[in-house]
Amino acid sequence: MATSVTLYLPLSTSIVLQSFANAAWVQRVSIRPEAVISPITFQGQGYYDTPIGQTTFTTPASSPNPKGFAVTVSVDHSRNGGQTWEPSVVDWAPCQVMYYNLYTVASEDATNNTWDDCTTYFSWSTAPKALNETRTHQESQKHSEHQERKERA
Amino acid sequence: MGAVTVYLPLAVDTVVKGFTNASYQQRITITPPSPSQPIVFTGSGESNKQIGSAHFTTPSSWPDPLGYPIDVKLEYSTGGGNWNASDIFTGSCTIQAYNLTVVVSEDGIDGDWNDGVCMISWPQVG
Repeated sequence: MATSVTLYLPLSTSIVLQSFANAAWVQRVSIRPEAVISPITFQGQGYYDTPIGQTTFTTPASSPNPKGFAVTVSVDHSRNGGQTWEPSVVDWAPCQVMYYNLYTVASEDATNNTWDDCTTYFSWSTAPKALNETRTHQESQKHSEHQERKERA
Repeated sequence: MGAVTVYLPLAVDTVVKGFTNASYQQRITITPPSPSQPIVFTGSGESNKQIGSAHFTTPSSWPDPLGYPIDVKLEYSTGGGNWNASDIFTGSCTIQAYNLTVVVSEDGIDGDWNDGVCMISWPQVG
């Protein structure tokens, strides 16, 4: 089983990154993006999806990788409060619901096989450009009609 | 539209979380079967702002073969105390033992389908 995964994110997109813990041992998630964006580290412990970190970043407009902007995610856990660290096993899956996109990275520190010891969400929305343009046009029309009605009144 | 029923497996620890990406107030109501009380998250904000979290364990037996049902309703308010049903869609993914169901909503402003987001997760071991 892998101890890191590489995900490819869309370019020029605002990404929300959030991590949660379900473990007694301290969890440390390390996100290493391609150049341009600095590495991100979250650390914490707790149960029932205790939030251990959140940030937002925008991917660059171009990337040498044709798959997209690469980020590598790894998770470590510590049995002694952070003095020493051991790698957790990680796996991931995408989930797209309408225009909401979610990449979830799950990890297991080998205690109970729940695969929720540290979970990390990468989320973003991508409404199709055509839809945005249509909506903008519709909203503009609505606004004009509203203004005309107001003027007539 | 505005509500969906999610069927959970029996005897699993379940976490529900609510997030917003909207300036309008969003309300997420998770209703388990009676006598359990509904869970309600309310708030607004951008960047997947977390507006609530709760957890419960599903019962070890239930008469419905589909599983333990919870109703998930997402609404928005433009003010004045009135709540309107949002349009919603549901998706899910499984990573090893980790299960995640996502319910997203659109309040009709920008069409990005992230105004209210409810995440329901549970581990299923063995």
